[in-house]
Amino acid sequence: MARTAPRQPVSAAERGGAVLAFLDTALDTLGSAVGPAVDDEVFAFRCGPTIVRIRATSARTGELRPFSHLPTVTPRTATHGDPELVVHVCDGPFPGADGRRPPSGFHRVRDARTFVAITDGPAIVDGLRSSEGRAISWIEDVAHAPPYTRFRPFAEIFSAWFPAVRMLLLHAAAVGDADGVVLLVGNGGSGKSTTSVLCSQAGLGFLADDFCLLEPGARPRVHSIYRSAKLRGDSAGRVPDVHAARGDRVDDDHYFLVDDDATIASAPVRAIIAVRPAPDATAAPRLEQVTRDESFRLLLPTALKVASGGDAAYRFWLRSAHAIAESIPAYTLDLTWDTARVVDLVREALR
Amino acid sequence: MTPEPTGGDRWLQTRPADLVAETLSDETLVIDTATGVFFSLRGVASVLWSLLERTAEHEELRAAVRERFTDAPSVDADVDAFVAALEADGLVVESDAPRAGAGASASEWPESYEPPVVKKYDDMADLLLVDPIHDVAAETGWPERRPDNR
Repeated sequence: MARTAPRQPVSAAERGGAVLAFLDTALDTLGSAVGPAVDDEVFAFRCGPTIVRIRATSARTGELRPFSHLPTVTPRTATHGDPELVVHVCDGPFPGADGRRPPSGFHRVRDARTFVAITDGPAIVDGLRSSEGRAISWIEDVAHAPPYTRFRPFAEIFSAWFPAVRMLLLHAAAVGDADGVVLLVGNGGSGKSTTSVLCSQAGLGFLADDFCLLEPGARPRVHSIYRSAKLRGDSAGRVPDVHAARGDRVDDDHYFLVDDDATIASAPVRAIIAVRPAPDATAAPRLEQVTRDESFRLLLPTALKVASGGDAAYRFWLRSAHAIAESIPAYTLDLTWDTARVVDLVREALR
Repeated sequence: MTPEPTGGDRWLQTRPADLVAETLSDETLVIDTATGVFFSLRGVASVLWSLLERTAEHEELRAAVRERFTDAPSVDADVDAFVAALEADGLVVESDAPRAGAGASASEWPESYEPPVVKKYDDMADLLLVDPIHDVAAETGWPERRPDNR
């Protein structure tokens, strides 16, 4: 009887190579006549010094609503050499794969040329070729797109691309006005979104509730990317005028869009506040300045997604966070449901 | 606790994989991307780290500091403790020989002797390690971690 050789286990490197090769094929195809061309450009917007162009052969235009507050750019507009990212948005059969499906399971792989994130249930592929500034965002069945793809679209792609143009996607909220904003940082569930929505309702401009783009420098600036916000059930019940559509509530999370005219697109960073629930919920909210070292440690996790940009992005973020901690005052804010006082303390930090 | 005496003729080097280090003014920052732990190196530690990035003999580290700060007390013990701390956290490993291509210039020495100090911060490890695909909740997406990975 013939004996078959034992099957060799596939190494992580081999799996990663296969994932990267799969995406390469798709991006090559999208670069030819088969893929979306300039005529398929459905929306383009300016994000700080960069331009993001969306080309679509898909019904996923609903995903573009979170960007509607940003300055728009028309197709073929001269951009004076500003960095550009082109995102090809598609659904249905995976383009350029000759009927093959993306590898199943979760994959997140990068090499010097390409970044790709694949997930399934539903099948989603976000891929980027940084050097060309071209990306693909594919969902097999748009009817089953999870809310985060509609309210925070292309976050994987943005986090991988922006470090290549000296910007970083931060996990932070930001509120203020065009003269300056306060960055609200903290772990998930610490109160960033609630604080930013409360401040917005009290008249401060809304720049971000969870993700914004940092442009480091002598005067660091942040740029809005999404006008979406997400509140957990307990907050959504306490914050007035928050109405998430039924389909935009998942488990305990309520997703919604902030009105265009309540947003600001860009501003210098004037202060950093690390928010956290007060140990005593019945006490008054408290704002306390922290040292440079404490500020640096509070800031570090906020660019946690820079891992998508590789080691160079980590180094870039270390230098940037260090410089910000040196130059921008930072505070902790113990939150309670005395919301008027919370807003007053944010305004105090802005002054 | 007094560190164990370490040999004077061992080749040591910074761990080749999963470390990102950046020296900024008087401090070297190191992130272990495999564990999410962050380290701050101060004093003469930045110079010692740069020597270790090139690969160095243990005794060479002591001698470099003694030569620069001839009046400093306890240099050998300080360097030994520093190396022991780096090894304990896996930031430095033994090496068979100098690395090929070694020879980058060392960081600048501080004006006066400050013992090499390494401070470890693991309170942000979970956040630094969150993987937007593997660890996130299926419905809410990154950065919400999957319930089974909390």
